[in-house]
Amino acid sequence: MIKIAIYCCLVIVLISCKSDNKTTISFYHWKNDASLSNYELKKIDSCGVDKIYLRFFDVTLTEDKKVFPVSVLREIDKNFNAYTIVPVVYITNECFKQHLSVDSFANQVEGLINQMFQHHFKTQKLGEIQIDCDWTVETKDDYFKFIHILKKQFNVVSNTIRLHQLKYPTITGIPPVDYGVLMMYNTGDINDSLNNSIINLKEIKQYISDKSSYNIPLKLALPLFSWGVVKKTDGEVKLINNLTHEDLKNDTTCIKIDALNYKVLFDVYIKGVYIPQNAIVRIEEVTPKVLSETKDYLYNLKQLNWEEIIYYHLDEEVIRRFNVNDLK
Amino acid sequence: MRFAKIITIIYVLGVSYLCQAGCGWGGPSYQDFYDVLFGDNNRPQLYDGKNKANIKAWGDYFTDKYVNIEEIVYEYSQDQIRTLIVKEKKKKNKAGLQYLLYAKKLQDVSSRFSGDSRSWNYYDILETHDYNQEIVNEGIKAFKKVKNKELKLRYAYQIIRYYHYSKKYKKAIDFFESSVKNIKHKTELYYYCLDQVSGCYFSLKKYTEAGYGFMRVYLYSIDRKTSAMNSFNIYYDWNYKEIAALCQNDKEKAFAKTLVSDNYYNLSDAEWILQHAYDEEALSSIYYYHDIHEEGRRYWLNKENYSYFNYNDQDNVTWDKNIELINKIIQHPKTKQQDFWHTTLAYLHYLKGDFNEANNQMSNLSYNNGLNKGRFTFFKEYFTIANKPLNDKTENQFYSFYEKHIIGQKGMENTFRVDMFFTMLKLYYYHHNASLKADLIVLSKDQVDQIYDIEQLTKLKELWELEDKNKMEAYLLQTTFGNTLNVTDYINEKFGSYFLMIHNYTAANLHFKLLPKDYKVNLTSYFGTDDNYQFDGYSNIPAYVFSTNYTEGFQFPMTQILTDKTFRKKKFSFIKEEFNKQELAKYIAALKKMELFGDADAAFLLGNYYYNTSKLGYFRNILIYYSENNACLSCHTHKLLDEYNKLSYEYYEAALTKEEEKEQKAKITYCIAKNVAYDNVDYYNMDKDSPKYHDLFNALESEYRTTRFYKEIIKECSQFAYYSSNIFTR
Repeated sequence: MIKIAIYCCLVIVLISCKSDNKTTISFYHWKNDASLSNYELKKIDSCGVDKIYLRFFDVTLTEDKKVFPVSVLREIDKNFNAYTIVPVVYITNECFKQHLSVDSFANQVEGLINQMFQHHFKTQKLGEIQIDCDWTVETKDDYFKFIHILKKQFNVVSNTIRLHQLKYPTITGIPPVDYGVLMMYNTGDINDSLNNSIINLKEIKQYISDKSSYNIPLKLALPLFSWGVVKKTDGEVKLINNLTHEDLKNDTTCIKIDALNYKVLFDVYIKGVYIPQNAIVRIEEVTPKVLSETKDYLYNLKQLNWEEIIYYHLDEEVIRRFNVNDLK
Repeated sequence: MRFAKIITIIYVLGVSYLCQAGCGWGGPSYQDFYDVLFGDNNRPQLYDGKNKANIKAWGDYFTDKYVNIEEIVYEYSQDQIRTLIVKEKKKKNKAGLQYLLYAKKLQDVSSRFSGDSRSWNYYDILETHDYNQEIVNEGIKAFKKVKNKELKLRYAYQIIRYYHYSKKYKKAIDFFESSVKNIKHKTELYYYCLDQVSGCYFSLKKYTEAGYGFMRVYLYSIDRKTSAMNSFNIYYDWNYKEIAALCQNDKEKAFAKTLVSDNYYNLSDAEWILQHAYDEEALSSIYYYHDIHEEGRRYWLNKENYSYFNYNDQDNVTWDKNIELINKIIQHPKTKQQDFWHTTLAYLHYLKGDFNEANNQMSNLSYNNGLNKGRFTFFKEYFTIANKPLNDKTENQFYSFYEKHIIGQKGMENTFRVDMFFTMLKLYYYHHNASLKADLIVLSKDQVDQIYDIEQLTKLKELWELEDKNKMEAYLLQTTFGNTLNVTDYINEKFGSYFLMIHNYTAANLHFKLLPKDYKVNLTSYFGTDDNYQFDGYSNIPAYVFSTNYTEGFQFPMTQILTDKTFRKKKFSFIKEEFNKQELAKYIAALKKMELFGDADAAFLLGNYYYNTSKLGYFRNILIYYSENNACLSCHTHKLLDEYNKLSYEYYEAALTKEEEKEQKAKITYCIAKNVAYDNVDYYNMDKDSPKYHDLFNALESEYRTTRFYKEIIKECSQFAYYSSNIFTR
């Protein structure tokens, strides 16, 4: 069946409503190397940013089914000290499928966060942490218990909420956190050649509408990043970070075949990534326009209020594409 | 490779009908040629010693005392090395073994860079994962202490590599610059160091230093050539002038020009390279490297409009420059691998279309250059056959050649031979004006599906129906169509569809009539499983093809979207609920007749049909085959359908003129507006500002505001609603 939806009404009526200027702006910093460039510092200061959600480490399952931290930040730029730091820990859902001792796991996570914070942020008091985990029905009991234990250790504990968790709260449950951060990115299917999987208002609308509500306060996480999704002729898919239409606009090594996709004419390196001939590169980018449209939609929802926008993520190459007004 | 690239451009730009298809085998490439001659692992210009130089250096160091030196270096544990140290009496050998022990220790520490600390204690994590100054200090101490320059370089390599992997790029560079660069002992190990330090320069975005370093490693090392070239290839914006400024002699400059300059190709530059960097391997790399490099496409022919289709019209000057250059290389007194260069020259002549000279060149081979004779025989035998006229006998010889050299052979090198053989054969066919056979080499059945070129299809049918096909013809047909397809039926259907598309319904009927009653197109991935409709490429076309939609949504079933019921009127009862293409041709002919006699509804149905089968229509798959349904609009159409949108428009206009009933007129007006909006091929930038479009919406507003349809469309189409409430009311 033909999958394309051609909407008769392609002219999108752009209602020029900007988000409330009083909304607090923050950023995620989600890299293995916690550095801050001068440009990044300048930009976030211009946006009035006070808080940075800094990914401290990930927790994954090892081959022998044990949970350990990986990609732990080692060096952290001293400039971070000028901001309120909220440590963020990403935990794969697999970890909670092991029926491990939740108490002991929570203590390990709490211990490492505290050690890291004390090591790098001696002048700050740790008040808040955030957990990023795509929990499911299968894992919600252990995950909520885990959160409950962390709540005893930290003043404020928040966690990320996926769209499906917002839409089906009775199934996936609502975690016992102080607030949730609704992740408005990676909303689509990366294998869908027709749509932008990073952010797609059409997709978002299927999950969130005027009728949507949630029983805990919510903050909003919005993407700024872009990437190229490379699909090779053998079906293999890989990503090229920070690739935009602008990068390929005048690139004679590929040809645009529709609004999102480019066909690679020759074996090339794009941003250091080898792309074989005939591969299709789909550009998925969040433009200021898309960002504005998404914010407009979300800010006009009747039952949801966003007390803060957290942009994903703080990276010079990413934020250069947005001016301060785009972000405010 | 380059030819493949060029051909791809041609396809994409639509020079021939092949633009509908992807490429199978590409065009002839120097890379394929090179691979056939040298295999995957024996390319002179990319000779990767795979640590052989390192092992040889160890053998020399220990004066061949340890026969299993490779095992000691790469396999032995620290304890095994310690045992050797204890047993070793000779001081120099002991120092060598102590170095190996240090290297193993460092390897062990480095292996923990994986990030899997398996600890929840931050300080353990930092300790195990972070850089270990102590072990570096141990190395630096040994580096200063040892007198043997080879060992000194080895310690330097370990230290620099460790710094590199610990991301201490500046430390690596400082150490190299202060302690290693000036060591007057530029053996293989020096280039091991340079390779690492160039990586550090690269990480610090000091591209000129990095590029120059990688280039020198490529030029002077044995083991690190591939690594250096791979590193070199990651970046493409090298600046020749900046790198040349670092070069220490003309040889390096010439080589930098070879690798970096993207616009150097002209004979005088090549001669300059020949003069200053005379080195056969370097020269062959000029060809090879530029072929695989992304800039390379500008190199080989120095023209991008080359195509098989103007094969005989190509600019011979470019060929002649190449031929002249190769002749200079052959005549150069230092040239050793004459057989290779003669074969290269033969290949060039072959590409140029001079099959006779290609064959002649091969008679110069002496087979005494230490190269693999069998690899050269491949070309010699091929060029001998290709020098003969195209006939059954020659084609059978080609097939025998294929059987002898390719069938039953395995491995990567056979892949090179397959590519080489077919790309050369393709040229042979084109050269002899046998374009169908050349195309059959390239085309898959899916690609033939896209072809509606009567001349080519007729030739294909004739070839298929030949009773005494030669072996190569039979092989080409079999690889394209398999063993089960009845190509005669297939071509008849395609003929019918072609005539249907160009509105010759009588001719369409004649061809469709030849098909068996149960004929269906075997398209495995085509629309089959949906409960919407079951079009099989020929039959089961739903009557909804004559309906139209007022809201859009291809993802919904036709019954929800195509809501207009005009086609259900009694006068159209001859239209079955589902029908095949032959019946479709009859229906269209009948509707056209009705339209000529002033029937507005018939005109409306024809407008709907042409709209629905255009690239933006709900049934855009009915007239052409395309096995994937994606957003690629150009994939879902054919030049034969280019005018369908316009035709739709014309029939709607005719319907509007003939129609008297207001409700129906409102619908038609809206359909014309929709048609105008989508008239632009660029679906994403439709012509919403067209004055005509506004006129039509104005007409809907002013003349049909009281209709039921107007009220419905205001609800359904926000575009019109927007227009109505914003633009119209201004």
